[in-house]
Amino acid sequence: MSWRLPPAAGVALLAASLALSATAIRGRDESTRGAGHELEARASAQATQGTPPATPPPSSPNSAPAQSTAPAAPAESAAPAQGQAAPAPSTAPAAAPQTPGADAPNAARGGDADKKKDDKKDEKPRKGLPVTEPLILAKCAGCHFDLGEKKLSRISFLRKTPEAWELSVKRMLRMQNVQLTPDEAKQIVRYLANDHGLARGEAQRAMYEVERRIHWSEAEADKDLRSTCGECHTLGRVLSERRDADEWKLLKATHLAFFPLAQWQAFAGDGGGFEGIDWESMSESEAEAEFERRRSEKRADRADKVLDKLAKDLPLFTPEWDHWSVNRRTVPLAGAWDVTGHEVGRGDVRGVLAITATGKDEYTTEWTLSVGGAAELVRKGKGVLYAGFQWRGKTETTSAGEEPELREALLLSEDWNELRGRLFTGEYSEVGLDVTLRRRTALTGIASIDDAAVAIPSSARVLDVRGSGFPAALAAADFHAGEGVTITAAERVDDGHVRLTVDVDRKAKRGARELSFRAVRGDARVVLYDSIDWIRVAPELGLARVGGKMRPPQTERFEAVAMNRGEDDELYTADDYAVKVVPATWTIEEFPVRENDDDAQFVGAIDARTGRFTPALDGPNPARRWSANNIGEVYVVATCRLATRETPVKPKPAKKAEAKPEGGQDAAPPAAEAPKEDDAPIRIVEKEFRSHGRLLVMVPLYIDWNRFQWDKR
Amino acid sequence: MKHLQPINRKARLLAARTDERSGARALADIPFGCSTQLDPGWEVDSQGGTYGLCTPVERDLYDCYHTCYWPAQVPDALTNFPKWSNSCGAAAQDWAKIDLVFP
Repeated sequence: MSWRLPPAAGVALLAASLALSATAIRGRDESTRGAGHELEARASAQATQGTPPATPPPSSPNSAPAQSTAPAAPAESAAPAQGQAAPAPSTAPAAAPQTPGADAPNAARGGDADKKKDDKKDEKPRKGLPVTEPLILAKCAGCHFDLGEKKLSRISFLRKTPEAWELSVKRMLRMQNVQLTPDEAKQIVRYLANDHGLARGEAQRAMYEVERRIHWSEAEADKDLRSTCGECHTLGRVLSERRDADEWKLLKATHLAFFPLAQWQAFAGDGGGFEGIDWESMSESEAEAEFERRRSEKRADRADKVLDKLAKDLPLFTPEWDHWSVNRRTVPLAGAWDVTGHEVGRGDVRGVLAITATGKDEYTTEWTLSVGGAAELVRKGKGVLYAGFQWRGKTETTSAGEEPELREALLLSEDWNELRGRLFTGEYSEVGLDVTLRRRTALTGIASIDDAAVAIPSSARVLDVRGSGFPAALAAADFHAGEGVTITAAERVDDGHVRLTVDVDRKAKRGARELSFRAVRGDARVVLYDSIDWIRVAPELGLARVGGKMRPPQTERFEAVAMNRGEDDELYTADDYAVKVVPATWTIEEFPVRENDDDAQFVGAIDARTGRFTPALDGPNPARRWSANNIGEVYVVATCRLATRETPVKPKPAKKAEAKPEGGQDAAPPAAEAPKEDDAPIRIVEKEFRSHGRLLVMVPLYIDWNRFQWDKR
Repeated sequence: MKHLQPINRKARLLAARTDERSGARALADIPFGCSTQLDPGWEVDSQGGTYGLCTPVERDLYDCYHTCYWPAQVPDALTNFPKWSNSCGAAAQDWAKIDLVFP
C-alpha cells in the first residue's frame, strides 16, 4: 500500500490531483454528468424496450443527459485539458500528449485535424489488426480515426476477452455518449471478441475473472503488478487484455484521467514517491516546496515499470495468437456432452448436456443434471461460442429448490472435446458449480466414478463408473486401477454406466489411482485411504456480505472434507490429501479480536445441516454498539462423527528412526516393526472430528464492474 | 503535532505524551477505518479482519466517494458517477436508498 504521506503533502497532493483532474475533465463534465449514471434497472429497461442505451428511462431521476449539447461541449475544452496535463510529466510521461483525450475521443475532436496530422507525421508503420466490421466503422470511426490499412486508432492495437470488450463498449456508452441499440452493442462485442480476441491459452489464464470466482489466488503474481493493478481490480482484468507497447502506456493515462488518485494509491510506488523525506523536521512551507519539487521530478513510477513489463509479457502479437488467428474456425459443439462436477455444499454433479446449433456459433442447451445424488432436473438455455473456444451461456429451470438462472463460462480444450468452467449465480456470483464436460463420441470414454473413495483394505466394493460408449462385451480384465486394486467383476449397466467390483489389498499404497479401460485412460480416479485423520473446512476463509434491504446478501457455503495424513504420516502437511466430502454439523463461534467481541451474535446464521451461511441485514444496526453494521469475523465450526479405521501406528516409530541417524546415533531397524503393524487387527472406531474455518462478513459493494450482461444480449 | 491542535481533554493528554521529535504519525498513514487490503472484493483491515474498518460504513461512505474512493468498491465522484449521492443525501439515515451501480 502506498498510503503513507505526510499530512501537508497529502493535502497538497490531494489538492493538486483534484485541480489537475478538474482541469482535465472540465470539458467533459457536461457530457458525463447526465450519461454517467447507469443502473441495472435502466440497462434492463433498455434491453427490453430496445431503446438506445444512452437514453435514460423516464423513471430514472438521476439521468438527464444533455445529449444535444454533449458531443459539442467537450470539443472546446479538450485542448486546454491537454495543455494543463503537460506540466506534470511525472504523471504520464509517455502518454502526456494524448492524456486524457486519447481515451476520450469525443473530447479529442476539437484538435482532431492537428492531432491526426501529428499522428500521421510521426507514425512508424505500426503493426495492428484491421477493423472490418461495418458497424464499428460507422459508429466508432468518428473518434477512432483511420490510420490506413483498415486500422482504427486504439481498437486495432488491442485484443480482449468478450467481457473486457463489453466493459470498453459500456464505457463508451456511459462516457462518450455513443448511441447503440442493444443489438448493435451485441454485434460489436461479438465481432471484437472474435476478431480482436485472445488465443485459447491466453484466455485460460484469465478464466477466473470471467468465471466470477470469489475464491481465487493471485499470490503467485508479480508483486509490483499486484500492488499497481491489483489494489483496485483483479489481475484477471489485466490478463484479459493484450496490447502493443503504446497501448499499455495509454492505459495509465486512461486511469489517471478517470481515477487521478490512483497515482499515489497505486501507481507511484511505495511511499507514493515521497519516501525517505523527513517531513517532520521541515516547516510547512519547506514541506510544500519539497513536495512540489518531488512531484514535478521526472522519474519512472512503479506503474511505468509494470507497464513496460506487461508490454513484453502480454504483447499484441504472440506466436500463439498468430497461430490461432489463421487457424480459427467455427468449432461445432452440437451433440451430447457428459457432465461431471462439484457444487460446494451440495455434492458432486453428474449429467448430460445436449447442445443444438441454432446459428453461427449460437446454440441452445438442455442440461440434465443430478446434484449431490438428488433426482435429475432439466435446465434449458442458450449460449454463444466466442472466438471458437469461449463459451458463454445461460440456463433456466423452474424446478423447486434449484437456482432459477445460472450463467455459464466455459473454455473449450485444445482438442475440442472438453469444456471446463463454472456455472454461477447469486447477487455476487458467489454460488457456483465447477464443471467439466466431455464430448460424447463413438469412442469409449470414462468420465467419472461415483463415491470414488475406497478404504484400504476393502473387498467386494462396488464402484459405479460413468462414461460413454462402453461396448456390450467387456470383462473385469479390461479395467485397471493400478497397484493394490484388483477388479474382480465388471457389469455393463448401459453404454454409459459400468459397475465394477473391486478388492483393495491391505498393503496397497494410499493415494489416487487412475482408472483405465483397454486403451482408454480418462481422468477418473479411485482414492485409496486407510483412515480419516482430520477434517478440513472448505473454503478455509469464507467471504459473505450483509444484505437484504439495499442489496441482496452475498451468501457463503462450506463443506467438510475428510483428509488423510498423506505419505509423511503427519497431520496438516502439504501431502495430506482429500478423501471425500462428509456430512457435518455446522455452527458459528466467535473469532475474538477484541474485548467483548460480539460478531457471532450479529453476523448471520449458518444452516447446521448444509453449511450454508446467510448473512444478517445490511445497514446500521441500532442494537450494536455505535450502531455498527452486522459485519465481523467468526469461526465456522464443522463437527462430525465418523466410523473409520484407527490410524495405523506404524508411521511414528519409522519416522523417529529415520530422524535419528541425522544425529549420528543408532540407525535402528525400522524394518522389524513394519510387518508387525501390517499384521495387527484392523479396528474400526467412531471418532469425533471438529474443525474450524474462518468467515469474514463484510459490507455490500456499491459498484460492481463485473455485472456482465452477455447473457442478456 | 505541527498540523493538529488538541481540542478536548483526551487530545490534550495525548498531545502532552507525544514525543515532539517523532511527532504524531498516526494520521500520516492510512485514514483510520479504511481498508488496507483491497484484493478486489476482499477489503479488510491491516490484520486481515474487520475490526479496524469504519462501521457503520454508511456514516463515512461519501468520504470514500468524494476523496479517497476506490473504483472497485465505491463509485467515484470525479468522472464516472458524479451524481451517485443524489438520491440519498445522508447515507447514515437513508442508506437503504443508496444507489447501486452496475457500470
